[in-house]
Amino acid sequence: MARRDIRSIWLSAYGVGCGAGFLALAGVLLVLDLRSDQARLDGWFSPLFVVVALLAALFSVRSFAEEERTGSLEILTTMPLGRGQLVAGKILGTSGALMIALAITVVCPLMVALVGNPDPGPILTGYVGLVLAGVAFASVGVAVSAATGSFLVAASGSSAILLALWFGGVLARGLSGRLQTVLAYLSPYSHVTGFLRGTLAVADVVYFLSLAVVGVLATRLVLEARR
Amino acid sequence: MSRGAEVELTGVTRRFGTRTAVEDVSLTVHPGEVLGLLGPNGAGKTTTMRMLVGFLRPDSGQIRVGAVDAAVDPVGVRRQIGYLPEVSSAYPEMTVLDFLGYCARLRRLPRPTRDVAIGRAMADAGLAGQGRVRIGTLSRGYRQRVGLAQALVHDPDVLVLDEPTAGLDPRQRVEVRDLVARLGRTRTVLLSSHLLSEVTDLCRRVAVLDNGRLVALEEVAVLAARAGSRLELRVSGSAPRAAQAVAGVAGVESVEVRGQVVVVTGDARLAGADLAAAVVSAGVGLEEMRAEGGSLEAAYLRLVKP
Amino acid sequence: MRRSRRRLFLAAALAGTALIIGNVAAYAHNPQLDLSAESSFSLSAQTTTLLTRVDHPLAIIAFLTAGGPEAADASYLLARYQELNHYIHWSVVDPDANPGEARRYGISAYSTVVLSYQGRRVTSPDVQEGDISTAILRLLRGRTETVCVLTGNGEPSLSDSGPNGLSDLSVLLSQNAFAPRTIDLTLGVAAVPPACAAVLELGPQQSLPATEVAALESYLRGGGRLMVLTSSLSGTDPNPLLSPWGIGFVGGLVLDPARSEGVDWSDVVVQDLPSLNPVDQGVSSLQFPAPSGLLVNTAQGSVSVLASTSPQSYIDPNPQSGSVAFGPGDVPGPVVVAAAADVSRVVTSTAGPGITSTHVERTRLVVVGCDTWMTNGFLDNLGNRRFFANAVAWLTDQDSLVVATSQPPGNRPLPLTPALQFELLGITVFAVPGALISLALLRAAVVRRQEKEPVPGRTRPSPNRRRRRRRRR
Repeated sequence: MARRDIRSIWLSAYGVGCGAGFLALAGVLLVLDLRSDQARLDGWFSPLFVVVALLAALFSVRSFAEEERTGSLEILTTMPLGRGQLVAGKILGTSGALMIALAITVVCPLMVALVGNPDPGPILTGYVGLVLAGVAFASVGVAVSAATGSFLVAASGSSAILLALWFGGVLARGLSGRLQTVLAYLSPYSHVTGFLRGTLAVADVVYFLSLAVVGVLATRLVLEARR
Repeated sequence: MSRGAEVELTGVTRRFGTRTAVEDVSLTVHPGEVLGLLGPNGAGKTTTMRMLVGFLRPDSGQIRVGAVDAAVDPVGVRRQIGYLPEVSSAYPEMTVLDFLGYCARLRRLPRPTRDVAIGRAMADAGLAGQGRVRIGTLSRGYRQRVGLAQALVHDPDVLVLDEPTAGLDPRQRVEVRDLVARLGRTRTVLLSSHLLSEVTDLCRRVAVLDNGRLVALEEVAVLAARAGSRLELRVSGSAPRAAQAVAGVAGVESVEVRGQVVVVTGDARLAGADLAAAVVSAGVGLEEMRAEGGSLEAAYLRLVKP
Repeated sequence: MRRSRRRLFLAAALAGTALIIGNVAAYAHNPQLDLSAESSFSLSAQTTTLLTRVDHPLAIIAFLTAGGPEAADASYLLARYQELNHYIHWSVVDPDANPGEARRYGISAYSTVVLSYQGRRVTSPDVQEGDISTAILRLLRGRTETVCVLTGNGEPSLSDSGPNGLSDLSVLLSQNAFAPRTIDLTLGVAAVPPACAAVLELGPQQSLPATEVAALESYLRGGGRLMVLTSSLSGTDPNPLLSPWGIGFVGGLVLDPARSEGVDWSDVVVQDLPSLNPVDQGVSSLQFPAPSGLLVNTAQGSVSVLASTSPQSYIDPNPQSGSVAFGPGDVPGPVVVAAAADVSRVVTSTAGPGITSTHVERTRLVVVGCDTWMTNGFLDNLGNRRFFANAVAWLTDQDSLVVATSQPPGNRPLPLTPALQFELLGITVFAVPGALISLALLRAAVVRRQEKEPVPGRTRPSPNRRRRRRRRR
């Protein structure tokens, strides 16, 4: 199922359009980052996390909303698969499509490595972060997609949720006390710093894996509620 | 030899918010039987079928396919069923072969038998030679066949077909009807249709749903016979007098005057000769008498309130 | 049916609880793997220990030009501090964008960091681990210890920023909440002021006057804390001061053919630091140029060897002779080049008629047979900085001072010339997405060609529709 979904995204004009837009944006961000005259990519990875969130929202609409709109969901859900398998397959499909987009962006660090001497550590951790965040964002997007049969509602809904989560962390910096701690922790914004600087922190990995699990649970509950 | 599994719905109810779509429906489909599911739009046919195939969950009641309880092992139930939804939309970007291969993989068909199974399903659904065609470029009728092929690919014991001939041209309709008839000899088939002639041709028994309730579950012949007769008498002279005269005839249940036509409905005892005699003896001329009796349509119209 | 739904909700609730517990645990103990080239964010064990003592909100504001790599590195480092202690809150403020804020904190230089804790405020000159942790240490300690540095015998100056000066050492002391104060015991009434938490004799170049020696002896006997760094080149004889505590100064020049910097056998690299004394903690090697030997009386349990040279080394008692090879009269190694004495005794004093009181007096002494290793030219070589900081901390009964293990991310210049910018934009913005779109178009064309072959069942666009499509194109 995941393989079919990956093919379906990347063999459609929609998927290619989204992917090409993402890659072009990654290129622009790279040039902006290199204006510091330093061969370092943390300033490239940082906004790329937000762009990956948007791409995850756009790709994830194909998982359930699009299938519901076209009616193929009815065939799919009557296949002899557990609901858990169905959800896992859909999340893997969207994540897999995202991973292809991320894999193509490797061109950017390679270019920088050709002309400069970047530290490979933060590049490696940056990609680890993007992969983890990609799976987590895809999982949230799939949950929203499962809740609606409308392509537009799914795309805008999951974008809104992911951006709200992200910028909630930015806004939380201005607060104080326990509320600030909780809000900051809940935001992916607070969990990308480690990956940008070249460290793999347990809390960051646990956070993104947890977000992915929350997406799985939410999708499962949404599907159950809509049955 | 029949290899279908018995399908049993017991007291199945499903609500959507405050609206009850299906209420306390109990029915059994026997192996080797094609059961027709009839009812007007919104009667609960599709909801019933969707509950049977596990797309929807019943609020109460029990569904059993063979020895498997849907509440205990929903996957086990789905494994035995091939389902053709009302709107059969496969993935337009896939070719027929790719799509059926995908369904076969999801159905966990062993790799060595997969190609044979796909070839058989395509042949059964009349898709031979269409394997490399993209589904998006197929006509509606052919897409319906693709839907049918995916329902058949795993050679299921039970087939659930929601309006299988909808959108097909008359020739395709006949082909699908023949196919269902053939499949129905060895499998359990639950079929919904708006075409009563189709149901009459294919099914020995029918279940009629109206407003979510099961209003009849009978053999087609019994139901039609029970529906009684309906006669239209074109009279010359006073139609009301003729109506008055026929009202006393044995077996008459209702009389209606529509201009010069008197419409009489009645039970199985109603005889045309008695009516003609009554009209003539009342001094009214009888120009024409037309009888519609013992049809499934009549039974259906009587059962389903407008 | 209802039961299975209930089971699902229960499973979801359990999974949710497990996630919360997992995240709280990860938040509380957040180990990390540092893959950056300079291990820039692997803070030292000292910093980690220090941060466990922060139990009230601690605010750190770094004044930096926003947006640059420097600000990014600062935020990464400060985020690590916050990860280790959640009482810490940090922000990076651009003094140009927020001149009012900068004025409020009296900021006059970029990269200044202001730290506030329980109403106290300190500043740090840079956003580096050593500076930040030291500032936190100062905040936690709440007071500044005075360390007295002896002058008057030709010692290098604390204000001298040349290679032979001690300005870096002075900064090291200041940043670790010590106030270095110079005292001259060669003048007037020779007595160590009571405010001195420790006295440092950092490389006298002439013999100490008898009055000064007497003052220091008296200070040591009264539980004083003294560091003596000297060599035979200085012409002093510190033995009268040291011998009562089990340490003797042999003099001569230690030569180590096995472990030395370059070809100069007298520029000794010390790798044997056998002591469990905190002074050796975290130090794996030292660079001692032209050291002299020490003799320790190991029978005295209070004395420990801090550093000794390799077995191939030896003491040349007469370095002026010109021969560097091991010869007659030379003392074979290994040679002790640093030692510490820690002597405690109970003192009973009479406070009045019939009233006696007892207290413990603890004398601590650190002796190094080299007087140049802590100068600006050598302080940052090998473990010298850490060794000095450890020694002062031990002498003053302080916790180990903070010597950063993390290094700031290295400078990796990549000038973005217009040509390079053009090239990057061309490849990443146009070539790569363009290639993707081209591949998709190519595939679509192949599929369309295949579809032109007639197959029954496929819908064929009507002539009108075909015309419309063409027009659209």
